[in-house]
Amino acid sequence: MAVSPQTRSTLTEISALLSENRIQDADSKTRELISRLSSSELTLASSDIEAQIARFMNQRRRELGLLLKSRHDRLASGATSSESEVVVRRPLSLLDTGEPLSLRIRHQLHHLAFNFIFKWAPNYRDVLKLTLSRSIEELPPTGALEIQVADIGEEFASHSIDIFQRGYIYQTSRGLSRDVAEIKSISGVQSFLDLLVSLYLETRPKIENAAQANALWGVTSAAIGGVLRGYGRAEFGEVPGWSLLQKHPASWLPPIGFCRGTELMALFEEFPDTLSETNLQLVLGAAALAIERMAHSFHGRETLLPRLSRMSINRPERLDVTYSAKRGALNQDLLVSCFWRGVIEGPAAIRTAQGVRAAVIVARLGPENQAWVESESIAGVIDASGFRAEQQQIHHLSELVLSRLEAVSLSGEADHDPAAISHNFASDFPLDDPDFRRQFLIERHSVKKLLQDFEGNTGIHLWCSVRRSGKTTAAQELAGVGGASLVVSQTMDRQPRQPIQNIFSRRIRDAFETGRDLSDDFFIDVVRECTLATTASDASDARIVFIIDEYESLFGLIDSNVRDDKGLKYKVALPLLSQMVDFATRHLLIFMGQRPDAFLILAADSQLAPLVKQKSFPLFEHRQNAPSTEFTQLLSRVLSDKLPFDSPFANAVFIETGGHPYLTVNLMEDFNDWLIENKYRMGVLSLSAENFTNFEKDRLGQAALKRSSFYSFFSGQMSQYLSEAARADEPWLSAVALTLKAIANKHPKTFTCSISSFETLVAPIASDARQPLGRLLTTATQANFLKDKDGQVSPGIRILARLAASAAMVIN
Amino acid sequence: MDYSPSRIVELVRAVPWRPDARLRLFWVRCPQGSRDDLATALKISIGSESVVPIVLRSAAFGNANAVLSDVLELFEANRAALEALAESAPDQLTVLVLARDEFRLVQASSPITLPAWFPICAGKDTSFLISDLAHTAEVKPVNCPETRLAHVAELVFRLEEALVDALGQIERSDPIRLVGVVQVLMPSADIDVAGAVAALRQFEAHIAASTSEPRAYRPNAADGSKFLGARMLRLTLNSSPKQLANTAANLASGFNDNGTRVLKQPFFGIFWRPAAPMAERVVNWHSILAGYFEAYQLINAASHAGDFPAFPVALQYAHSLDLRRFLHEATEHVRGLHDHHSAEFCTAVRYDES
Repeated sequence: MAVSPQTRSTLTEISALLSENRIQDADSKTRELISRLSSSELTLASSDIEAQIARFMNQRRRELGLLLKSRHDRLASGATSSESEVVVRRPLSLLDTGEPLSLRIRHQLHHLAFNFIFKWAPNYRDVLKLTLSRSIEELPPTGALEIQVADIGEEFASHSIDIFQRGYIYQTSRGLSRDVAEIKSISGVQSFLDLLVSLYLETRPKIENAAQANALWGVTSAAIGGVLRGYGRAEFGEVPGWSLLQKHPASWLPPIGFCRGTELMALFEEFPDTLSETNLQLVLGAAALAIERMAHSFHGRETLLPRLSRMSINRPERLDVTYSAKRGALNQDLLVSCFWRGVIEGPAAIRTAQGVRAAVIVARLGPENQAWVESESIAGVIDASGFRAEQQQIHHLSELVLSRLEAVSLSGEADHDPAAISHNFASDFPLDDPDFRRQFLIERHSVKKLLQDFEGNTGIHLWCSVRRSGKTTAAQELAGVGGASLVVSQTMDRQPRQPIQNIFSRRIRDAFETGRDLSDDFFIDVVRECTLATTASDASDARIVFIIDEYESLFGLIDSNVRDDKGLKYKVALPLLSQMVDFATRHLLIFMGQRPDAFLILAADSQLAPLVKQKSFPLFEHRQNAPSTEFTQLLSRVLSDKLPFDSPFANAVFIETGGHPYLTVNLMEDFNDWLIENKYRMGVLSLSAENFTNFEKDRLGQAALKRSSFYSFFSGQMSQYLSEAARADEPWLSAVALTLKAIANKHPKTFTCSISSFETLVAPIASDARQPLGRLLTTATQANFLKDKDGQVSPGIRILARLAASAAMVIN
Repeated sequence: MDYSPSRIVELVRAVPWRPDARLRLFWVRCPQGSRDDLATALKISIGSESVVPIVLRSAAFGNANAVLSDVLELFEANRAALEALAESAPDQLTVLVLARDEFRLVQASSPITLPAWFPICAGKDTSFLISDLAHTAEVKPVNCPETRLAHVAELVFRLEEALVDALGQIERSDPIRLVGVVQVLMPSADIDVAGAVAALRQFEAHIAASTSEPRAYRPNAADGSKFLGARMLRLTLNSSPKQLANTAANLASGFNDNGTRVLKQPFFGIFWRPAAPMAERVVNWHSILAGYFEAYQLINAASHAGDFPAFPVALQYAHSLDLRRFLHEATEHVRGLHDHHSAEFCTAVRYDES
């Protein structure tokens, strides 16, 4: 019960064919898709298929629409069901409009709970995505929105109690310690909430009017509130869920920024009194109520919806929620900043909130701040200190917030010319904030497809890619996914915030520290422990895909331990490697990292090295002219809805970054800065390829890049790879960086050369680094540093080659 | 090099922050002594500044891919000290890692996510470079006590004193040879025995005048100065490398250096080498001229606030070590020439006669 990566890629292809006016091809692909899909997949993909059908012209649109409908009807009557899933009873379809939406949702959630528990992606994701799109289509015209919303909230609440309680009991009964089970449980609720938020954010740009906005916001709030209420009501070994929530506020606070005031009040009503140590109910409740009331004054094509919710964990803790208010041509951001814990003393904290351009700051102010705000008549700071956390008082406080919001909103209209760009929207993308970044996750079908391609494979695979390619995120998203296999991911990097990602690394370190003979089933035991902790599943007979992220550190650790202790080599290192080899005869082991040669240690004594097969890891996928691809989704998250762009623009950016997410953000920050410098006017036209070309001339030349501050991470990495120390210690990275630099210097316009001129250019580099030239090309291509296509070699990520050519020299 | 706590603080302040950086980490190598004591002393001298010393105990930092990950473990192990800073909400934080060994890794690891309790950028992905404090902190020679200037002065004085003593020996044993040596030192004058002896008396008078305060000795090259060091400096200042080698050859003969003991050159000396190869005994005297000149320039640089650029402390210290090593060895060498005078002198005479 999920949309397969193949279906996603077919849909992308259809959309590209339509953009290229290849109607006949698009038509036949669509027909083929409709007849191929199973009932549940067809249902889940229906809104996406419909969206493509709507782009055809009259005749074809009608025909394809009818085809889709008749296929639905036929499958529903069970005539030609190709359903292969084991289902006790087919759940009521979300498309079955004869029944209330809340009832259909109940059936779907029930089905998920029993067949796909905790499989947030793709199963939960696909079902919930369709749920949201049904909500905005069905609920507004019925007039029964609020009743349905309340029911839907309760469905989510009972679902949440059910799955989290069951998961906890299952795990502890399998021997998982209570601490780990608790962490697992709270991170489960976080994943569920994040999923809801990311689906909301994906749907928001499609909202066209106030009624749809109301439905989307209402159902999202109900779902988020419901999941939390359910979790709170659940018991985890005599500990109520409420206490766990209280202990880990960071995992659920940002999502509640997307809730309407009404749902928040209902949630806080149930929250036990102990939480009143915080001002959540008062401060956040009042702010959310004010916004909800303000939204009531948006009609017709006007919309007011939450856009971002960000928590600052530096004390004093603050939640910043940004709302996007659209009225005609005016597209205004309203930021509401809530200090939700303690009394705020000293103006520094308030100034920080002002620094993020908050329209309203709500806080309990200390006497010093009260005096300061009063004497200097600081606008936009609402003092909550005279209020108590009870219905009436919260409403009074919300009045104050509302009047301030209205004042700001009005002044925004009269203020300055809203069309002149003055803000760097790309720099809002939280590159350095992993918590906030969860709201910006793009589903990576390409990575899932890669995994699916190896369904049933055993052995050792190596996935390498440039740093910050999204490998770690992808690995963590993959966990649990997969048809017949269980995907378990672990990292060798220390993750004190996610201890269950470090179980493997801790056991390995312990093994070297104790230095005793490794037991025969050490590796498989550790894998079992990780499986239980990360996937909540029993690993006894399933095929396991075990992913080790930052694998270079694993081999670095082995190497440094055996270098000066021969005993450890025979007691720990070699047995470990041979157990890994043995594991790989029945399962799939995946090493993930940047450099493809780190496993080449103890080569003379171990069977491991010859078994390792490198596979190429996909960056964000893009197909020319397709309006919606992984890459365009990323790009629109980065540029926000303030800066729409056309397909040629996306293509041009893709040529530069190859779909590398981090560098795409860096590049767009630079681009946005350039737009500001050139007084670009927003809201007139979409960004075009011409804009990008002009930017490229001004900002991406070697001289300009040398001075640029937008690429500091990769520019620094390149400097390190190009240094003398790297030549000796990291020969592969050094050779690759020198290669990129050589191509950029030799072909500064096209960044492309024929295989033969590549060989001439790079032969001295390869021989200096003792890397066979052919192997260097293959491994670097698979790791996205180079691209080898149609006899032409170019950098996999052009901007990285530019950075290699302009990196400052490090002398070490 | 052992730093005092206050010196470490000075050096940290001497390194400018990179733009936009909020966290940085310096590697401070402490090969000897108690690092705990140093850390404690540092805490006291830093006071409320946001600089935190951490003693590195685990066998971390052996793996380029895990550099920042190892940093994270170090932070966890020193949580109490770091967390205590949160109160003061610092804008920028400098962490000092007190380590036994040098740091030498390519820094190519993934960024790390700082823990939620961290006083700066909590919960944020961060990437930064670890730099060796001694290599990074640059100071002008005048502000670099690590050059141990007084010791340089003393050693350069001892070398000059040894040379003058050697000339005294020559005067007593072979006044004609003294004429030769003084002629080399005063190329523009026409020297006879009386002139050579008069010059030597001036050399001796200068040594006698400075002997009470050798650690404050400051050679100069002023035109009117008539002491031995000034004459050597003027020779060096006015010579090409080739001319300097010729002068060295003449001095080697004049001092009867037969090259049985070979002095290791000062590092600076190798940059003065002429194109043609030099005999070992010539290298000895070439080194003495270059080393004396090197000490003179260093004393100049370290005594003037202006005119001189800032250099890494480690470089200045290493330079001073090498120079002092040489000055000491050169002094021993010159003393050796006349301590074994009788035996070697006879050999030398025979050698000359043949």
